[in-house]
Amino acid sequence: MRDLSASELREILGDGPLALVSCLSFEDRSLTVAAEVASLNLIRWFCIENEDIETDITEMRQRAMCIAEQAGIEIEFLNASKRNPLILADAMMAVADGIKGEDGVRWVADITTMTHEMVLVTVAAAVELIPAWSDLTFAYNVADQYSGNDEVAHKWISRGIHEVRSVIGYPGAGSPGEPTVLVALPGFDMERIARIVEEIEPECLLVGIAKPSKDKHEWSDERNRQIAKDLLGTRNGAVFDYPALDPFAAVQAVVDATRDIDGNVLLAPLNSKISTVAVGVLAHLRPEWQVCYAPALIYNLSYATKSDCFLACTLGEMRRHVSASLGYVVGN
Amino acid sequence: MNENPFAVFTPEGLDAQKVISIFSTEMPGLGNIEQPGHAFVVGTRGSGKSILFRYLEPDCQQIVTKKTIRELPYLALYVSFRETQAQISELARFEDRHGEVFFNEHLLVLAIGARIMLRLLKNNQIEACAISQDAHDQYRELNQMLGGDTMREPADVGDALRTTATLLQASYRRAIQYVKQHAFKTDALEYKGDLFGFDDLLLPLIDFIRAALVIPDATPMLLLLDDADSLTETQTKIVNSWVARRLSSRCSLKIAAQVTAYKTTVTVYNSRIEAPHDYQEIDLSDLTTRASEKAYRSRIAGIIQRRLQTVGITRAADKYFPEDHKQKLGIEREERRLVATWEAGGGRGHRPRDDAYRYARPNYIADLGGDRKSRSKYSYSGFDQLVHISSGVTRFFLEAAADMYSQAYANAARGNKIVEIIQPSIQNEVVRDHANRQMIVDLKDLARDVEQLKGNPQQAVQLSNLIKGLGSLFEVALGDRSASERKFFSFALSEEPTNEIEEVLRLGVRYGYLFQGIIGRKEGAGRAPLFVLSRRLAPLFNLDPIGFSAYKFMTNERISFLMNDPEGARLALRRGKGRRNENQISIDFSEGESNA
Repeated sequence: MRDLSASELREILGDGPLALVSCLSFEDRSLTVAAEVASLNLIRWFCIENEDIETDITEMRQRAMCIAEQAGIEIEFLNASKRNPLILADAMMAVADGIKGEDGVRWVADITTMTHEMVLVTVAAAVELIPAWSDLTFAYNVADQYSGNDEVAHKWISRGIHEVRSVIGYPGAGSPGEPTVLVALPGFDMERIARIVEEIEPECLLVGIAKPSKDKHEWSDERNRQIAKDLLGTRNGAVFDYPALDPFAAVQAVVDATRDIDGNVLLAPLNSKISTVAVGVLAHLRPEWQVCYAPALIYNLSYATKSDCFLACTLGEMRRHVSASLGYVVGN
Repeated sequence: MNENPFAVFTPEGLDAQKVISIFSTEMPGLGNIEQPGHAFVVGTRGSGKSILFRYLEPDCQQIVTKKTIRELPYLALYVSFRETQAQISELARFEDRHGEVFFNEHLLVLAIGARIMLRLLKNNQIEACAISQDAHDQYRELNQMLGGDTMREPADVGDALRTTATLLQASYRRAIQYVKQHAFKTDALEYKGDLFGFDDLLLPLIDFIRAALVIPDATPMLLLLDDADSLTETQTKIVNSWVARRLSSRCSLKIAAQVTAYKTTVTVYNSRIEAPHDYQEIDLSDLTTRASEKAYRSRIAGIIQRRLQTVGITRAADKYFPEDHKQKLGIEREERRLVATWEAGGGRGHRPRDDAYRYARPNYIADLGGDRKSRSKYSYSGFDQLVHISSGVTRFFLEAAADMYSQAYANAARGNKIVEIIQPSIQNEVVRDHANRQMIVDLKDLARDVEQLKGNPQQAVQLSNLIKGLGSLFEVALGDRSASERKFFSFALSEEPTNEIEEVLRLGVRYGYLFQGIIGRKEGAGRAPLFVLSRRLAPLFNLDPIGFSAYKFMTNERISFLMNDPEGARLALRRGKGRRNENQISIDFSEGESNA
């Protein structure tokens, strides 16, 4: 998957009517794609907002409304909740009812600042609920830097977790009594994976380490390997690698790592949002696998800074690649 | 590296021989829990609940007692609610709806049934035993109920158990498919599948296991339900409803949970289960008495020595973890001085040893220097200190010991990879590192004022402020030679906490910064919650972790002050340093006002 500039992103999205679904957060990046899309033929904008967000994002909301005003539309806010995952599912049902009969619109999901759970619910809604999203375009603004100017040893993304729960739409079909195989895909937030492992205590732990493409993110590779080593010191399992920001390679790596595994597979995708989309598609083709998520207790408000680099992929493309990884053909 | 003798493995996955080699038979409640009757085993994470349950399982007990499975004094069937999958989010669709309880109970009994059968098969040699007529009849009934092939005869007991487990798993998966359909549906779909419960499935399954393994009727069957704090509130109420029933002749429930995380003691009928009427309570992390402290020390020493033996080291625990020699001599010198002072008429305690015990170490720490940096030269080494720092939680001791062992191993000379002793410097380094790592958040990480944050980040900052405020308070008290009581680790609430304070304290207990207990109120009326600072945090404030500590009553106002105005608290502490009040921690919360 190649990096796109802002102009290349706009070119891909084209001149036709566009509709956007995004998530408003404390990060500047939550408006980067919207700002690009607003200059095109944007006719509708659904914006997910966490009703229990723990910092003041009034200013970000106002900036979003200015962008919408420039595009000549009003934002339709969708509620979500860190504590109650059903709220976003209900919001998606309202979207499904609200966009019936709208043809010829290209739908874009800006997954940049969605939580991984939101990304997965969006994929589930696209696959199961909203026909207009059958070829949803996923757009992502790559981060320039994480955790501000903190020294490597002090970089942090989140601390603590509330609970570990399955993602709506991905309960799996596990057999009680069979061993649990947790496939963890950490990103810059290895601590959350460690907490998930502590909660689940799987019989087997497979950790996928994303090799960063940029040197400045090498710190995450070293840290993740060390934490994986610590976790695997007292558990069965293994580490596998894949290139970061390459969702197709991520899925191939997961499929390869689980090929000969017996037991209940539990996926914990916390790497890039685009690879989480791929995992969501994979889990729909392997519905016996459960996908889980652990909302963080606290986020670092200096989470990430924006860049001029984007990634984009359609659901159809993703489905074709994931099916190929699994070794079978899926109709369009 | 050779095997680390202190590595902390999940007990469920350990084989029986390993469990026997490391388990301490001094675990509180071991004799009681083996008796018929329901019980709750409570304790913080890492206090030994799971390994206690593991030890009770038949494969371990056959080794311990040298008896066959049918000769055992009880048969324990183990399930952990933590294992396998995360909580299914779609189940929340059924909350407060008709059928919610029935459906959740259906899922619970299927999952428990499958797990206990497969675990029995995995850990015990019962495959090829012939199946008795009684067991065969029960098997057929269960088979029919679960929709199995009633024409197929089981080859043996193992085949019967496995087939039944497979049917239970299939029924569970069908139920989950129904749940999955509700991802994007607000109305409940019609359910046409089976609905099983405790009476019509789980008890008959336990009876079937008894018959299949030819367990005598008089032998108690213990159903061990571990990690019950992982259950949802509805599931917890269902389990409570089972506890409320008099079932000991067929099955006794032993339920393990972190006491602060177990959702409720209410049943599905809205009645409440209570100890000792409905169940016995066994608390594994009770350290509120000197006797329990001594017992814990003895237990840890036994665990350490047992674990060292697995790698061929025969050294007593206190010799394996020696204290810094210079520091030890210095403290002993101070003890002798205090004894001499007492004998000369200048003592405070009833006996000379009282003064030596209470003041020698604090004086030594204080004499290291006036600022925190100087006092950081104090060494947290020595078995006694490590025991106290672990705060009554076995896992905390073992995790630190495992890190120490790893470091010592890495430092060992080439060719000599036996770690015969853990040097005090390594002990101190690891203990201090663990203390630093325990803080969820460093204040500088959150670049906003407390007032601008909401929810969990705000509570985390408030908790951080509170811990640091208490730590500083206790640090100052330790250095105050004019006070008779200098070792503080706890505070008690002198009134009902506000919601804000309650949320922060709950977070503190949840993340292991505080332990919760109960004491009597000074005025004699009722009891008050007591919060004990984790001694793992002692190195952050150069506190003496050893020995029974004093506590102070605090009002909501004082606690709120520490939580929300850390700078003000720091200044108030400075102002209060000069005050000499035997009954108070010296802190001047506001000018002219007396302390909490």
